[in-house]
Amino acid sequence: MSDGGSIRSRIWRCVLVALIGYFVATMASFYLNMSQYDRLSKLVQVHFPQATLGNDILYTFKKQTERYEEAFLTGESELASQTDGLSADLSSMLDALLGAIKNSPHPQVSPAYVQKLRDEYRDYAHIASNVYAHVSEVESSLDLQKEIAQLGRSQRHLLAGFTDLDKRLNTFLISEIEENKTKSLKSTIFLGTLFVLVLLTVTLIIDRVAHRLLITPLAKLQENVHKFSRTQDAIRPEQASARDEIGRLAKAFWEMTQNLKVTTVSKKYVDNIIKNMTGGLVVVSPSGTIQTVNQVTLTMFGYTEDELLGKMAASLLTPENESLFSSSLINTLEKNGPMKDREITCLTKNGRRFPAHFSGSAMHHEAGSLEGIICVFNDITELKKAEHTLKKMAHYDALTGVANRNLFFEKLENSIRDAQREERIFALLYLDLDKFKAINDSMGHEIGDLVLKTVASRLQEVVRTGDMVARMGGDEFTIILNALHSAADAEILAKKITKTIAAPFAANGFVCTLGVSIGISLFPKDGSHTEILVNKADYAMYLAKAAGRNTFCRFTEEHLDNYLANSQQRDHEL
Amino acid sequence: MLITLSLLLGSTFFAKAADYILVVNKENPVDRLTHQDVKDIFLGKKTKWGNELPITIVMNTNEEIHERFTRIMLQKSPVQLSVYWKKILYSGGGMLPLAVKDDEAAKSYVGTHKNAISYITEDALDRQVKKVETR
Repeated sequence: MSDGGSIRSRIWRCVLVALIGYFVATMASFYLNMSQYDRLSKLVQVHFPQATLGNDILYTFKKQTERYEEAFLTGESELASQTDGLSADLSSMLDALLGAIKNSPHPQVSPAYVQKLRDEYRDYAHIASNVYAHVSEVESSLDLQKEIAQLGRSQRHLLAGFTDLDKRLNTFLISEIEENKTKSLKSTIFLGTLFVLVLLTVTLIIDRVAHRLLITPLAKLQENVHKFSRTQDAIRPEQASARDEIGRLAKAFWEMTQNLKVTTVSKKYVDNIIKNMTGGLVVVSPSGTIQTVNQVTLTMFGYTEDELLGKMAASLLTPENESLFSSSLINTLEKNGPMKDREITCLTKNGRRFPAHFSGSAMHHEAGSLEGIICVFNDITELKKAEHTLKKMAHYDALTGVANRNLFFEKLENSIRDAQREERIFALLYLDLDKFKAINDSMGHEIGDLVLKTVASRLQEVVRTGDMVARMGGDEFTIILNALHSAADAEILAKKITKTIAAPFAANGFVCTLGVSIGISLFPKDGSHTEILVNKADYAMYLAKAAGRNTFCRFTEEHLDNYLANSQQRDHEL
Repeated sequence: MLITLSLLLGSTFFAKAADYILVVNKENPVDRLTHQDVKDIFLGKKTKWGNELPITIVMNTNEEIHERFTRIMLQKSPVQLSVYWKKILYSGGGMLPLAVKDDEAAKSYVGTHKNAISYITEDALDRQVKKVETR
């Protein structure tokens, strides 16, 4: 973790930038103030004293001339000699001014000019002190008058000179002050502009830095969080950006999303599973309404999702199955655990029924309370069809389509039971085709099979509803005749059968004639057990065959002894 | 009050004393001067005659005439006039005017100096000088 990248250090850098800006502005202000100070100092130390000196000189000279005048007018020679004293002061002032101007780097008045004035004044002072000492004699002496007039002119000249000097010094002072004023104003404007520029620059820099360091990464992070919340997918942050806190936060967030991907199953994932389930999923609330369904359910039942949600789950079932979604289902599930592959009949939107396997299990909240029942419906229509086919294969003869041996015995048992209950009789006919083996051997199996099929269909035509034809194997058939009034009825039908079978038929271009030998046993006269009934009918059939074929024989009492002997022999042989 | 007093004094002199007249050299072409001209000449404001020759002022300090002249013509006391001229001298504006002690001296100077002008008692006028009318 390098400090160089942390936000704190970057903020400090911003502060440093601001401080540098502030420092620059302060230094500029300091410099300008110092130069201002220098100028003002110069003004105070150089220009102002010179101006004052010029002013003093003018003032003193005026004072001196006034006093001389007063002395002259009043004839006070004492005042005149007192006034002489000012000459020394004025002289030294002029010397001082001259010295100051000579030392001044940029003299506003040429030293020569001041020097000339000083020299003129010295002459004037010298003459004045002589002339005005004798003022009382003015009217009497023309020379004196001339001297006074000369002095007056000299005095006027000096006055003009000093006034000019004073004016020039003052004008210079004022212009210096004006210049300072202008410079101050310029400094103020410059400093103001500088401060504003520094402020703007610093603000701009800080804004940029804040944007780059804080706003942009935070916006990126926020966008990533949004993206993750929407799509469960986040963008991997750039490796380089992980140097500061926000970068590390972004990285941590990304790592968190990766961990979440591994450790949690997203709704999308679950939805995907549900969507791709082969069964129809229905989540039923404890109150029996539908909460969730998947696409398979919608297809299976022909509803739209809106139609199903909130509907009672019982409406998916036929009325006889509706009770499945009663409160007892919950109890059953709670007590016995999940229910598996219960066969039910469902009802689609348009009223079609179809068989289905229903599996249900109770779904609980983490707190333990029942949240709903997860139901899975599997359409078993195809399964039922397959089952039906299998059943058919097990009970019917594949070649002729009539009942096979198994079904025969089953039906025979049923007939015995029914007849016992209803106290009626029925007959069992045992048929064996005459000379079938010869046909089969001479004309081939195909013709044999065709013969068998023909026989079967002819037998089916002859028997009544409620009777049953079965093939026992080979060329042997059986018929159960249920609705019999007497034994004679059976014989009538047997006779009819022999006739029917005897009718010729075409097979592969040949015309064949068949015969059949029929044995008849009767319930309950000949027995109340399948085996006995079959054996007796079989025996009677042999008798019929022995009697000359294409006829029938009913088992009677007179056959019993031979039959018993025969069957004992068979048992013995076995 | 001072003004009143001086007026009173002036009128007293005016009543008692003889009147003055202005005189110039006979060769001087000027015959008359306005009151303002006289005032300007004697206060040193007009220093040249019409022909560019310098005017020489002669103050007749005969007490009575001098006083009357300065007060009436120049509206000043003799002392004030004296100070006035000293100030001109002091500032280098000109020399003090020539002063004579009586009419005779005045006539004599004006009679012999072509550019001179002075004032004398009316009675003292003679051939030496020429009278100039004033209005």
